[in-house]
Amino acid sequence: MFEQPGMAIRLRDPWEAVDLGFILIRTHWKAVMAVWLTVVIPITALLYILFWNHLWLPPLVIWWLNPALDRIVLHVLAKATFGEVPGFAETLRHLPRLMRHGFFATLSWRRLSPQRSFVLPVWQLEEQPGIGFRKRCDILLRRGRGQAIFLTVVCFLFHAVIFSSFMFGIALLTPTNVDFNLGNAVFGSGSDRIHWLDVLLSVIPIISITLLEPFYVAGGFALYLNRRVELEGWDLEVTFRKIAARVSKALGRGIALLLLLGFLTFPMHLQAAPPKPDPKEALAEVLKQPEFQVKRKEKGLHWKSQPQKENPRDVSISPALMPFLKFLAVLAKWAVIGTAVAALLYVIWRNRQFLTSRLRITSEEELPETLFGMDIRPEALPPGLAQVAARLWAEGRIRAALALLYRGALAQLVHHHRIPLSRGATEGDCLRKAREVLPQPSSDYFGRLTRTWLRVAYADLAPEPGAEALCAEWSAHFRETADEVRP
Amino acid sequence: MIDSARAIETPEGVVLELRLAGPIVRALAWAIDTAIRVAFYIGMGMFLPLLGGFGVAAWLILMFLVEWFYPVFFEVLAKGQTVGKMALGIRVLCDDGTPVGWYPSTIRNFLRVVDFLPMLYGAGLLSMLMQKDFKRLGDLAAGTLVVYAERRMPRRTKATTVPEEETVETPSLPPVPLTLEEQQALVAFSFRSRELTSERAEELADLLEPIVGHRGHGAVVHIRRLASIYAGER
Repeated sequence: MFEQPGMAIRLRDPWEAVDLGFILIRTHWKAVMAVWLTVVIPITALLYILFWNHLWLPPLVIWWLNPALDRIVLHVLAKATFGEVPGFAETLRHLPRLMRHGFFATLSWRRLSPQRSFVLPVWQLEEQPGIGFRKRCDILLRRGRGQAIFLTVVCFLFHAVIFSSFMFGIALLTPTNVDFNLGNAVFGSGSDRIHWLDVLLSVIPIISITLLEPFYVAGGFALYLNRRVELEGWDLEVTFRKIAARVSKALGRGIALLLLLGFLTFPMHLQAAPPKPDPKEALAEVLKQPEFQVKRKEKGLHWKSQPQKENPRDVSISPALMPFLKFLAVLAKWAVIGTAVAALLYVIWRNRQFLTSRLRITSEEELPETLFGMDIRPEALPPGLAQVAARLWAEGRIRAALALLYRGALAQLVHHHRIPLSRGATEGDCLRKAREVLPQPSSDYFGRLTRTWLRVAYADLAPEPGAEALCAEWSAHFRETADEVRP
Repeated sequence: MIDSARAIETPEGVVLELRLAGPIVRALAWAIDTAIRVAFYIGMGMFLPLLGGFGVAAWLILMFLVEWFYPVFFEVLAKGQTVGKMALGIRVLCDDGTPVGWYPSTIRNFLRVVDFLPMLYGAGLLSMLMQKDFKRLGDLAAGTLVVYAERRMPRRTKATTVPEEETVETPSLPPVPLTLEEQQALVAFSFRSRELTSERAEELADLLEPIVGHRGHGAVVHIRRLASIYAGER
């Protein structure tokens, strides 16, 4: 019964169930209408033949007969919902059977019951007699009774909507030169009344019933179905069947795999995995989806690449003035250019000090007096620097010795070779600049000196063995700058 | 597959289920909103005219503003819900499931004039009955949907209502791990097994024999025990 249902079986809120019913009837509208019209048109025709002089009677009779007509709708709908849309002839043949249970009850004392759409399936589909019907309704109506009642009320009001829409539609579309007063025509009496309008007033309710009654029945049917889904766990049944199928399949596959592992030791690729789609193609496929088709609006100012059409405003200038205006324009142009040049020159003049000072980098006062916190002024260095350093080294004050050597070397680089060093230069900068000005052996020596100094001063390690030779070699590469600078 | 819900997949790959609301609920919501507005007009109408001509003018202007902007303000500022929609548990969303903003809300509510034609929402009703997503003309123009609001989470009750003697024993887990939906189905069964007749409950439980390895009442009890595990109760 549930393998391939025409509708999604879920447990819904009652209101949602009503809406599902509306969707159901919309889906099977043609099948329902075919039978409905076949039955209703002859009855209507017969009624009008009998009661032509009492035009109010046929719609009233049709309305009263609704519960009987509903059974046609319900029959088609119930069958169609569970897979097979019943044939036209088959439905007609079934008509007498449909009316069997509760026919007179629904047309007499139960006619005005507000939940009749909900309980009709109990009569017709479950074919419950008397007491069983009442018990069944008690259970079913515990949820959804309010919705069933509102469904009846609102559907009744919808009839009013359609009726008034028809009437006002006619009034709106009546040409103004036709003498027609809707109020008089509908509520007036005697000579005010128009016969064709009376006929229309009588037919419109029947049309309205034809339009709305199937929806009403479907709403009630869906409420009933939803209640049974709830009471009998149809949705659970669907899911449980799926679980059982999946688990059995998975278990079966597991056993097959075990068998394979047990008996087949040679590699087997007979059943290759299904070919996976190329990820690039898949990606391109995904990117084609509308979610990724990004359109963007941008606002901004742009130069128009093409000149606009002739400005239509230049009409009021007399041609006699044109030469003068042109002269003014040229004057203005040169005035602007002249002002700009003058401003530029003024700015340069104002900043001349800054500009010239930038050019004299190597002037005396620009030389740094300290580097890395060390005094490298020549005056601050002791005379006989290499000997002093060697003595310090021999005393074990290796750090002081290296500092002296390094300071001396820097002092000479700055004051003798005039390498441009800023206050923020690092030891690496000094070494790089020194390589540019010193001959090869001297720059090698300075490199060794720098490395050793870094090692001792910053890493706080013992100097590499043989480093004391730095003191002896110093004089070969650097001179005592103090002597030559000092006046 | 006929369904009253519409699944929407966001660019992030999240599937949203929008449960479309039909003409009956929407008519009721409209009736509530209209009753509120009319009560407001009558209330104002009793006091404002006491101020003389100015009061009458103010009353008319107020009526104009409320009539046109009442739904817009509520829909934009109250998560797509006017008072009537709140009462019925429905809300307005854009077609892609995003919240409704000023622009679509204004369009859908100003076009009520068109839906109202020829009288009392005749056009809107016909459109809702025929249109796929129960849209009235204003919804079509604005690209909006009316859907049921998400259910509030029920207060946490002892989910599975397993009798004491049934919880003693820890059940053996299924041979194949169940997916989330499948676990939820088991928990739902446990929730609802009191409402099902015992025959029906056993019939349903028998379907799961490959998992639980019992039939009949034993299977029902076993599923309830599993459900209490899946519901995180032990």
